[in-house]
Amino acid sequence: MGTAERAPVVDLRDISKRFGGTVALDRVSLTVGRGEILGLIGENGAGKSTLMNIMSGALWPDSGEIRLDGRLHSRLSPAQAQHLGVQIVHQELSLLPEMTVAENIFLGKEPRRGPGVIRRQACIDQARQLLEQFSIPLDPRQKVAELSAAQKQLVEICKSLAGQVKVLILDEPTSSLTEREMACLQRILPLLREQGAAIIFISHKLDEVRALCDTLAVLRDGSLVKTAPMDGVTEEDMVRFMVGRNIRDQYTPPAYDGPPRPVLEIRGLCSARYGEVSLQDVSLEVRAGEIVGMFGLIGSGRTELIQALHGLRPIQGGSVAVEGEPVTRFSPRQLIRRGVAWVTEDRRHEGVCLSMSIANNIALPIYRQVSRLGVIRGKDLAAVVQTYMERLAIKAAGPGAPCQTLSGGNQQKVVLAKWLAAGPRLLILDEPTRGIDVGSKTEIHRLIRQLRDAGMAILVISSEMPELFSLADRLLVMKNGVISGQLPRGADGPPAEDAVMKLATIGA
Amino acid sequence: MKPALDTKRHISIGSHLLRFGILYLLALLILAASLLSDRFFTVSNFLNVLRQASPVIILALGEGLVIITAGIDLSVGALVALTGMAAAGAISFWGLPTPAALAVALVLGVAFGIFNGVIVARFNISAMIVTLATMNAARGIAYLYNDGAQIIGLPAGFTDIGRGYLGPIPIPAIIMVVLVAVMVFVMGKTVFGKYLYAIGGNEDVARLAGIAVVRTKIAAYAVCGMLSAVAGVIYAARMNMGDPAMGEGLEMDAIASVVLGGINLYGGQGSILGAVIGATFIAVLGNALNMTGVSNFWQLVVKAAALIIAALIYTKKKV
Repeated sequence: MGTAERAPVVDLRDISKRFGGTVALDRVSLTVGRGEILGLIGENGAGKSTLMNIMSGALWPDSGEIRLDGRLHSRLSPAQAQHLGVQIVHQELSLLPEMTVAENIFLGKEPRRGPGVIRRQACIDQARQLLEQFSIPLDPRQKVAELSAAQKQLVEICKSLAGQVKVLILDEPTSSLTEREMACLQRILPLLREQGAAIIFISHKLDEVRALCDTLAVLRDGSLVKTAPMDGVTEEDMVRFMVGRNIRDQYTPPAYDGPPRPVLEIRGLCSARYGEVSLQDVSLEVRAGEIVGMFGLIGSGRTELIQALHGLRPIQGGSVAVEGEPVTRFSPRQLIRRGVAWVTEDRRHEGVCLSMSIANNIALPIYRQVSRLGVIRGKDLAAVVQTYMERLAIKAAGPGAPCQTLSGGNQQKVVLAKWLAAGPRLLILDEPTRGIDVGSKTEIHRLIRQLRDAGMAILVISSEMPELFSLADRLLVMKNGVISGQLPRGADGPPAEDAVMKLATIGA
Repeated sequence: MKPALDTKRHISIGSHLLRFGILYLLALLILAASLLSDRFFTVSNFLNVLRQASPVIILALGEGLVIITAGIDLSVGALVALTGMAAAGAISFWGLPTPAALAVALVLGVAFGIFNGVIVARFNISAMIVTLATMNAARGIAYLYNDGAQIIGLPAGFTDIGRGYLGPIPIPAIIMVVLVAVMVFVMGKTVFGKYLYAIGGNEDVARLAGIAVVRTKIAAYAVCGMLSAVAGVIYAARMNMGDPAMGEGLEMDAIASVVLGGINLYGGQGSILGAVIGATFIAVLGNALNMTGVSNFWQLVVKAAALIIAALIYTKKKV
């Protein structure tokens, strides 16, 4: 590393970042050199995105140093980072669908003639040149709306290549790429490497990481646990690096002694929608008094399964029964009537109504029960709200406090209170403790076990393995819209973490 | 926990001002007008303002309901003309008694509202576009109905609805007070009211909670249409005629009332009583400007300024 030529382009030292009570990054040091392709892997929530956001100036670390090209930047702004050549391609697309490929690529940096006049032809020519340089088979004049999801992903990548590229961060770019686009990427990255760019490639697809990257870095619970050259590292090794964790297991065996009747039965469910993960022949069963855990990484189809159940995506085949009765009409209302409650993954958009009070949020599914002829019986409502606020220990000024004044943990408790008030027989929890503090998390876990022991059937979906191990009586793993495995909990503890991760990443 | 308490106190003062700011402004306006004109602060002028403000307040109730669901209804002004024409026509052309004529107007108002609601909620089309179209349709039908002519000469039994008094109180004001009471009750104490707030606050949350979102939204537009018909009848009765040009621009007064009253245009927030106070403010402002001899043209400008200032104040809330 003696010469300036070989000084690392990216040099992060002791980066720490906390969000409230959670440590997102704990003294992470990472370097990426000129012409190096680094594969960054880790479970959901391990801190990958936080680290990339810090590198691109979107977040500031609580402590630690960022050096780009050897220069220290203590207060890096997104504009500054971009100016320095740090380009980031996010998982979510940020393209304008009604504009052409060329217009999207040069958005904000259009070739101009005089003030405010765009040189349209130059824009198209330069875009074509860029596309040809990386052998990307796209027409710069085509509207982005007409492209497939994978092609849009390529445009997104091109967008970052239009400027100066010193550091290119690809945040799970392959989640929607087909083989053809993947081949494109395999051409682009080495070209950039030759130009001396430092590339960070974040992905859950371990085979791709292995095929594309020179070095490997593994984040686990906010710490960098492993850096190694890619040579000789197998996918099984990577899985082991990602999960090798020891955490006290708070699991308790079920204590429900009623009949273990199946509450939810799904048989051979198929659901496909263009451009999204399709569910193929999914079968599962959840019985009264048990917690079934479902593990799957982002894009595995776990949330899509529940959405299909609620009629939010089309069902092409299979059958669903609740309490032995077949479901024929799939809608939230029908399922609520059958005693199914669904705590959604996206709390802010689908869970709480932020502008409304705690009381009004909790009462949403049960207004009919606490009213007569459409007029709400205030006392009954207050009593229900009081009961559940106490049961879940919701910390707030009072039942009239708007939900936007609450912490994430308390908002999640309001969502839980809402669904428990509805008196469900099956409770579906999608990422029940994402982004909330440890205290609330423990409380919610305890409550889930209590509900199970009282005879409720519970399906917990999570991408946090420790959460599933401390809750689930048995574990299902999803990958690519298929249930890739079922792992019972043995007498001596949960299934091995690497076995679960293997099913979720490599498959059965 | 200390900072949390502080923010709470901060919010409560802020929200107090936001909730009641328009009341303070109204008080200030009344004070200023009383100083500038000695005819302003009199019982007769008060009753006059009340009579004039009543139909606007009734429209604002309906508009408020729709805006709370994060929708909007531009057709209320045109619907005033159409239902006024229908009521007048039912009496003059069909020879129906007054109660039957009222029923015709109300049914027509509800029907238009349901049409608006179905297109907006069932087919998920922007409320702005749908009601812009039905606004023109209603206005057109109002003109077509009697070849663009007014329908004049209505019986006293009908015109009393707009002109009559019960003791010293104008009848439109009595209708208005009853409707305000009903709507405040509906929004505060009924399942329907809570559902409207939930839909406006977060439609996905409402749908996932099993609320029949489409039906509830249609009902909101239907109620708005019905209240427009009530206002239409009051105007027709007051003018002693059905006039296809009636109510031009009233939708703007209704929307302005709602905004001045602090109801969030993005839905889910605000009190229906706010819309009532907003409409009162607009009526009092108009009256005060008349009393102090400000020309009609300047009145438009002053009202516009008031609206923009109110909108600026309320936007701060959402940060």
